[in-house]
Amino acid sequence: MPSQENEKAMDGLLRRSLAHDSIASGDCPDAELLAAYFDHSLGADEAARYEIHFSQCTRCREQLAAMARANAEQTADAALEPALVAQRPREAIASGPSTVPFEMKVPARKSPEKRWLDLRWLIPVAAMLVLGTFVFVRLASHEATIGVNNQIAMSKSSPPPQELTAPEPEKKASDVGTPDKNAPTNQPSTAGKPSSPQSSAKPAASAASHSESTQTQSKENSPPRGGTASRSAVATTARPSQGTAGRASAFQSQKQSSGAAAGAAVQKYREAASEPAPNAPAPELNASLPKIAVATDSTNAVKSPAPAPPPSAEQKSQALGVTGQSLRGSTAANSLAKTKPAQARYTETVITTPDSDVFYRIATGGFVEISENGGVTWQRQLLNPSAQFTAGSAPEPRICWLVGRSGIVFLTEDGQNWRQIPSPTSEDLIAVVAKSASNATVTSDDDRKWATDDAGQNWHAVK
Amino acid sequence: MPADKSHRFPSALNSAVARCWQTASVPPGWNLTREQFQRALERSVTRRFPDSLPDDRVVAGYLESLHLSDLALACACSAGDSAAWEYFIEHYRPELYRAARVILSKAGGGDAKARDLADSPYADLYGLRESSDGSRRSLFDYFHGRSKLTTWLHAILAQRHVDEIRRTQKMESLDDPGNSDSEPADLPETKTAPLDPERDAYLAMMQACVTAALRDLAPRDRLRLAYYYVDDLTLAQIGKLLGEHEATVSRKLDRTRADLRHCVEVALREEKKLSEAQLRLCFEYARQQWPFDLTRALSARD
Repeated sequence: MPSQENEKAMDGLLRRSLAHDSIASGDCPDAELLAAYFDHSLGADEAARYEIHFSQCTRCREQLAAMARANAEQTADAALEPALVAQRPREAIASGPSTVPFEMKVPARKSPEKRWLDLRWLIPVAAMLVLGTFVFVRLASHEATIGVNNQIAMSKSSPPPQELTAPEPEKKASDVGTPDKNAPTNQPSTAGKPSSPQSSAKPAASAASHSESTQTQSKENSPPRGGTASRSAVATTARPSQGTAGRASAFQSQKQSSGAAAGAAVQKYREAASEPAPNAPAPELNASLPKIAVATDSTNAVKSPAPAPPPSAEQKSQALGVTGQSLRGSTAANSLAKTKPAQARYTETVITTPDSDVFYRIATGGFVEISENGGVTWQRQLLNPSAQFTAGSAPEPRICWLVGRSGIVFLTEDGQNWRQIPSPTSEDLIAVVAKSASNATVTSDDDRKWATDDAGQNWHAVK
Repeated sequence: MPADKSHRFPSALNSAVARCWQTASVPPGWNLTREQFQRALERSVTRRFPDSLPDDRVVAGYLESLHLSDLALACACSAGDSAAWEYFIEHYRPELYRAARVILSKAGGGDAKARDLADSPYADLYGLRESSDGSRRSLFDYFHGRSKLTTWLHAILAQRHVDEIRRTQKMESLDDPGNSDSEPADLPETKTAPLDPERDAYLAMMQACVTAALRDLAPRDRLRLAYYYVDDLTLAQIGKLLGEHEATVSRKLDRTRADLRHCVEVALREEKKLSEAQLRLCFEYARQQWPFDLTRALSARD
């Protein structure tokens, strides 16, 4: 019998056995303990005790599963529509009761007339397509002209060597016309796309899910792994805003939306990437790069009532030649998660802060991006070109911890200046939970954890 | 009332309480006093440390770990402040409704059912229902700030939904073929399977081996398996629940599964003395429609 069929049999057995094995539900924890367990707020002893109960209690497990689904979609919504999920300052609410009756409150859904705004990501895409086509056509005609010139030159009796070598940089330049090929990228999604789609039937697709697990595992074990973290790493600790007074000034100096700066960021990105820079582009192509960036950035700078950072991330990724998974489809991706290849579920990491307007975002090439206006515009900073960050945590709007491969740990206390702090390990770090600028807990790929109370000067292992 | 039985903070904790009060940043329009807030903190500490008040540093650390702004909101709502209630309604009602829709989506609930589920906690949140001793107490009094208020509300909705499902399912037979969503329906039926007199015996042996192997699993491994196979959670959702990276979840699921299968095969070979051919038959029968559910019979406590 094929081994795959045995796997199906095993899956069915496990599903049946686990579904019906239950203990009496008299000792089930109440809603607060369930919620605290879900938020990982329980002590280690409490969590371990309840975990034993949950492993045997179908009722509690079903409740936790329902909470996980609700939370997952909330996280996706929060990442997509921070302005809708954001909570306005309480001072404004407490200043006096609203005259709007409760039933008249606007639900957390976009009105139909605003939904078309979701399509604004098409603008930069269309602009890129037009520009790309223009550049391609121009290059093609340019090469054709050079080819004719070369033929003419070859037909001469004694062609000078300079003329023979003249087309070389033009050919290299033509490569730049396809930025997706040459742009430096560490994204895993470009590395291992499966050749065949998997089955989508969930109940009977345990074998598919097993193969998916294998893919994830193989991805995890295959060095070097891409420097992005999964969507599950999106921080979900956004709490009601506690005031925005000091926030704007801290980031004011970082505001930058000019096309020239965006173009410089593209160049800086390419210089900073670990891969060798693309071959020297022709002058007209050099000129085209800032144009692409300008188009993207200006689109991102469009003020809208409901900005959506992840689409912006995709737009920027496309502009920079970095292939990234769109977060817009993350809700659907959740439902299809077990049928999608594991690599496709890895995407950029958005780090929320207690301030609903301030986000950090991990980009490839050792960059981190900061937005202080709910994701409308992003300020990119290069921390370390060789760093591959995997996760971050921002306990305060201006305090953010980042961890990454090879045990790299970065910290900013003002949202601008980052410093690398001593790491407890050289293993890959995949998660960080920070409580302050001095207190954080990092997790390595093999589930070991270390905590510090003095901004990384001393680390101690925690269970 | 639990407030009467709660620990009283010593004066040494005044600074910690002051920090909490500052962190909570309670809007003045809520009319929540610092004394009311301190009572809520004391109730929370009493709930966490029911026997006696621990060392001041432990209490201060616990207080700092609380979701203080959420606790302040719950406190103000419990006290009946209209501005706080308006804030709650405006910011949490849409979230309650959204969560209810998500929770009900798996059960095929419609929009009206989601609305009903989302609105169901309000009577208790307002404190309209009398307890057994005749007192009225807001559901907010049971929130002690150990989790986010949103997560707590999700937990309440999830509990109500699951309890309702389990209550209604008691009226229905779980053995109804229509309810068995875990059947491998896409697998071909083997016409000769019912003719094999050993079939049920093979399946019973295999099920017993699986049950024994599951019983020996570590609780966390078992929980991870159940989330994946029974509750149909994604790797990311399981990772969120267990505090693990989804790649770690995938790796551990794979490892646990392989270990389980190895245990089952070893048990069938060595304990049940089955040959390789019989082992193959076991797996083949297990792929086909299950004739009975031995696990339920084994689960005497259910």
